Amino acid sequence: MPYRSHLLVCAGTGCVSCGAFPLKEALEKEIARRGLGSEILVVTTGCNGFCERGPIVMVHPEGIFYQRLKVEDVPFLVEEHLIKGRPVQKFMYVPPEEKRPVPKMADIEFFKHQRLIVLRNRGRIDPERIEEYIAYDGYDGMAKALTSMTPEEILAEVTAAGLRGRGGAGFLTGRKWELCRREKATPKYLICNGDEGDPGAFMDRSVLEADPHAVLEGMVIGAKAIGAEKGFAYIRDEYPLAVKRMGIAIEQARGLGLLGSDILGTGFNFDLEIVRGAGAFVSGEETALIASIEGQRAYPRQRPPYPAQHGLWGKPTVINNVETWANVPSIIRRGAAWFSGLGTEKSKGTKIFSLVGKINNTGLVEVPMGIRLQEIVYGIGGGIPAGRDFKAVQIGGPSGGCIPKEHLDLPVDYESLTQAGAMMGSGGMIVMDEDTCMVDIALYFLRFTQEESCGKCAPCRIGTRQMAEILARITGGEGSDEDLEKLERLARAVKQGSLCGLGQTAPNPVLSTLRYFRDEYVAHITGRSCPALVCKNLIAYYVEPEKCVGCLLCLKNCPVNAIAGEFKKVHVIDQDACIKCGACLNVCPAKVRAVSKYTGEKGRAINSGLPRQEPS
Amino acid sequence: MNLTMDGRPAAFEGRPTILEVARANGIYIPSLCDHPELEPYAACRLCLVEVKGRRGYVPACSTAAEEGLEVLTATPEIQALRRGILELILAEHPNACLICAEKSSCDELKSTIRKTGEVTGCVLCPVNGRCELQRVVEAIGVERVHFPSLRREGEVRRDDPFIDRDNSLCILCGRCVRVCHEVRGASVLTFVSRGSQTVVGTALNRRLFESACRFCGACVDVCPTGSLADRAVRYERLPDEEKRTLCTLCSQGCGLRLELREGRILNALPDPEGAVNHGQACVKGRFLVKDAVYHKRRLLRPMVRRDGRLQETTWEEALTAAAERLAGFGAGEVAVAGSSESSCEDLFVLHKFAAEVLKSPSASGPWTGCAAARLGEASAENFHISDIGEAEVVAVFDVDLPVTQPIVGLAVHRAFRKGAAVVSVGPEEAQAGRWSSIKVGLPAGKAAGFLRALAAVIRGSGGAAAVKAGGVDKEKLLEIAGLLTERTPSFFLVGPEFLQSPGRGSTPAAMRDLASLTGSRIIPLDGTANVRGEDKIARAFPAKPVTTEDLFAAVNRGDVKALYLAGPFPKLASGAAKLVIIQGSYTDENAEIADIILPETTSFEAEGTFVNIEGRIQIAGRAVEPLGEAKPGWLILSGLAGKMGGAGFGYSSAGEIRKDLAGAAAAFKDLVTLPGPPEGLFLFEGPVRPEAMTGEKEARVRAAKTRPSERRDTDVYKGLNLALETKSLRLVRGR
Repeated sequence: MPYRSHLLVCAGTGCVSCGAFPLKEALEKEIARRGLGSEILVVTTGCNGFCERGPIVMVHPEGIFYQRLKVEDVPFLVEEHLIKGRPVQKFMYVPPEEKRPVPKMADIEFFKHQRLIVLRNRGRIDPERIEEYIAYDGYDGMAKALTSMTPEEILAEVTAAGLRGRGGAGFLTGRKWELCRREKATPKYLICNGDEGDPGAFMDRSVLEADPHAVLEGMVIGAKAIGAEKGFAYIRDEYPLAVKRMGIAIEQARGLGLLGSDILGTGFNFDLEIVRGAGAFVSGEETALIASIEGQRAYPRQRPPYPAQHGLWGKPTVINNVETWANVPSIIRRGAAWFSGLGTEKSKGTKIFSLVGKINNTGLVEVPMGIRLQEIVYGIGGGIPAGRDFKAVQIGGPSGGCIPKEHLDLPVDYESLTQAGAMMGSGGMIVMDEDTCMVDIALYFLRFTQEESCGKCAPCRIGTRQMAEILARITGGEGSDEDLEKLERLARAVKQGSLCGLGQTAPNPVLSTLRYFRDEYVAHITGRSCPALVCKNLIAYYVEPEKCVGCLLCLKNCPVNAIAGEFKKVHVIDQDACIKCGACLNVCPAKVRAVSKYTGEKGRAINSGLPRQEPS
Repeated sequence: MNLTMDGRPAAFEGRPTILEVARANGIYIPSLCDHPELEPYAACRLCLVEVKGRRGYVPACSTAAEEGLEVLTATPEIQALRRGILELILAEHPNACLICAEKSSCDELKSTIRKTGEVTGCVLCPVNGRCELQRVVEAIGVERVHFPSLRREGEVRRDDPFIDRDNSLCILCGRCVRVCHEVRGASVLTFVSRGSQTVVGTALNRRLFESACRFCGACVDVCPTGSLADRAVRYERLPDEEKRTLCTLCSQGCGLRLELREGRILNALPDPEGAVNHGQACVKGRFLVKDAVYHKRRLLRPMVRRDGRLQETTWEEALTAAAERLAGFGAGEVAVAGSSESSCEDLFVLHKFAAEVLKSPSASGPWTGCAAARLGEASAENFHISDIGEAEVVAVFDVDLPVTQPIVGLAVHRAFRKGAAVVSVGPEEAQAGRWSSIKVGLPAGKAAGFLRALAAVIRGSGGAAAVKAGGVDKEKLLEIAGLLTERTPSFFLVGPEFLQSPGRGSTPAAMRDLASLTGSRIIPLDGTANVRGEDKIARAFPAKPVTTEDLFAAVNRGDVKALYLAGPFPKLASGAAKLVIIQGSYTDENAEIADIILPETTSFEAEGTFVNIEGRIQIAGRAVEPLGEAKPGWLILSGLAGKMGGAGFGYSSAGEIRKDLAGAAAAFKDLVTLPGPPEGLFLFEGPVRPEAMTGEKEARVRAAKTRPSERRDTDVYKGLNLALETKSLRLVRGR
């Protein structure tokens, strides 16, 4: 007898980490307790994308979206919604600055504007059950490719679709496959690059956890196109759930004859093996990844020759990103014309972005290429929290750059982003507001690249370190006038001299912030001030005497006991002891707002304990 | 084909890199990580050049030259970029001296201040004056390093023999890691940690000695800075002379470049143009030549025993005494023992002396105990070690390649890297290194059974009993059989000890049978510098060949009354022979009872011709003047023969002897055309015929089989056991 209702509990890593599994158990227990076990089914699915709001439970068939559920909420939810038929408003999503909840997922801004191709199955299938994938047209594309298309036809379709590599470089996928197909050496290999390393990027993880079969299907199709019989899914070791789900998917696909020898009885063979990542950012670089699979140290190699000609064990290899592979089944199933109808002239299809940082709606979004940046930030993202001002959005992670306010109307596609000094990259979008220091951001990314640099080539190994040290001095208030020129010269040497993409793009955050926010650099160096009030050596925390009510809150919460004062007497921060953690500012009651931050001359004056001018 | 470089045409053939084309055309492109023996690495980024039509810059070391390319190697932008990259490299390396304006006067005045522990500048560095980084800095021109120093911390590692490791000088070019991994197959050095924390080190940061390092010195030779340095040369001044010669400490025939200062050997380096070794060596040739030449046990003065004591005397007296006493014995009563470590000139004159002056029916040399003889072949055939590098299957029968046949070992490793199967057979202790695909541990006496079992499996004949006699389980036999039948070319590398089969002369026969069944080439491998030469020279004379052991037995029986020992010999009891004359380089046990001692030069003090294991004839040049009163063996014998009335012994140069040798032994007939054709001069071989087993041969084979000799210690040079007599080699060999 069919179930009258399905509860889809999101079990992406984000929701799992805030209690999705206990929640699921609680739901099942309560449903059983109320005797509804044969009417209502609880299923776990992959990531829904709206990670800000986890744990998430979708109720079907209504399509009601419940968010931030706790185990204690379960009895009430079951009673009200499942038994009495009254969806519970207090568990629903309320957009920021609004009062009325939006019950249905389809009506929520975050979801409304997305266009799902790669993430089409998100939140609606259990990724550990292949039957559910198949039920939603899964493996149809593969069946078509294996039974009624020649390799050349598959190639032509993918090329006509205009699919470009989603890992960051944006190279035309069809062209890469073609180059590999032309090579005579055998055996040929396929690799799925699941070594997603950009900080703040989790789209590949999501796809692997929520819909691993999409990747599998894409790879079988690709294998036929180029003539490979063996593939590797290189998944970073820090994604245990992705490794597990992919492993289950492979087993299940093999079990149904959809992977392995004589797939679907067509005589075509292709099998896949999971290789766990080497534990470094650089092992996501394609030649380093290949070295890693070979059992070597993950050092990149000079290209040319490119992997398509000379890759894994010297054989022709196609290596594509998770998202790229996951696009392929839809392209074959629905046709190149459909796919190329989305997006812009040179950037076809959709792209997944991970929207993080100072944004209301943190999560994963899939949108057509060419969408304006401001639609993503404000429309889907819901704008900046706490009414702060938008400052910039970093796109492309440590290889990318930031887009400032004046370019918010930029269409998001490969070329436009590169021209603006950023990069599509893997699609990480880190939103920043007026409280973000751009020099600090540059330092953050450069420290990342510095630590992740493999060390093989001198420009990257030493150049990024020198750049990071200069930036550290600047944010520490010890910058000097030649530093900007030195930074730019170093950036050029590192960009031009480095062996691989990590080094070649490492200076981008610096160059990009210098381009749009040079005044902040100058302020740090000449004015010894941090306009965003972030860099600890350049700011001072100060309790405004005329505002302080003497409530002792900041005093009690200071981790280093740097605040002196008595009840109902003005509190004073000992500037020598203060570690600039901001706890005092956070706990000072909103009505009081007695703690301020100062920088520049004023900050220095406070730091050295001089009396300052009374505010006017 | 042609390309354009800096506006000038440059011709090339094949598929060289742009860097190679530049070098061939005299255009300088700096590089620190590239090396002709290693695969391109593209890490230092100093060789970046511009190629028209290609984005950015490409590294010349790893970009293939193509027809019609337009390359620019030194535009102002490239030079600025190079300078910038070099400055970054120098930020990680002590650079005070490199960019100091006082450099040239300092070099002159303070030339040996190197005795401090920490290197803070070139004047304190062990490789000052021979450092590649110095040369690159000079060529590119750096006046200031605009970046703060990021020198690597850490102590200098001095806890290994021969090699010091100083990470503060390392520029992470990777050459040492690559040569150890790609060329030597030892993989002792690797990169540890990542990014700017990377250092070159060993697994678990152990000493090299504890990491299976064999101290071949290749890493020191490729290091462009002083990071890996030869400790013995650390405090020496720069050499003032260089001599090319051969290493004679084993049978490979490696070319060496000896660096001398004031006529003394400072250092021995492998010769990059060495026809056999191409710039590689082993611990003996690389680090122990000095020890061998200047060892305190050298015999330096002629000595004659008077009143029971050996007393130093002049050559005239010593030779006269020798001649007089030798004349007192009849034909056949004096036996002559030669050495397969002596040069062809020494051996020719020795055999001629024995035959014509002493009328001695026997001249002994361990060649009759060597692998070739035990195989029952008249002699080994010529081969090229490089051919082994192209093998598909290599079966190694009881040869410790890295120790006894290092260059052959490199060829086997090359084949292995290309996918060859390496089967290593022998007693458990002597297994080849990590690059054997299949290991077969065979206890002594099982050799023949194993070979026969393999042949049986291949033929599909012989039941379980034959297989069982092999002493190895069936799967392994099948695996090896499969390799031998399916892949070609295949080589059998055979050590002399493998062919010993007490009581059963069947191992050589079984091996020949297996080889012909599988189409494999048998290469017997002996360990002395001139065993092939000795073999051919002995045959040019009518003397009946016997082994050293046979001769020893004859002495003890009383059949031999006097001995002229020009080679190693077992310890004689006092009074065993009426006369013992020793012609040698080092004192040994027999020197205590010798009547006359005639000091001989080592190969480094005299010109001499040697035939290596391949059959390649090479001349070792004289590097240093003879020590003390030592003389080359042929000169001693010529003088002695002259005093005894021998005719035709008036040799005054090695060249004269070679002429006679060419005439006397067919194998050497092309000797007069030295240096010979570009691919090298080899022993002349007539048309190769399968040898019939003559009576003489059979006797030899029987002789070989009935008396197994001890495993020869390959660290012995002319009676001096380097592994016991030098502290460092003793440590390395674990003695």
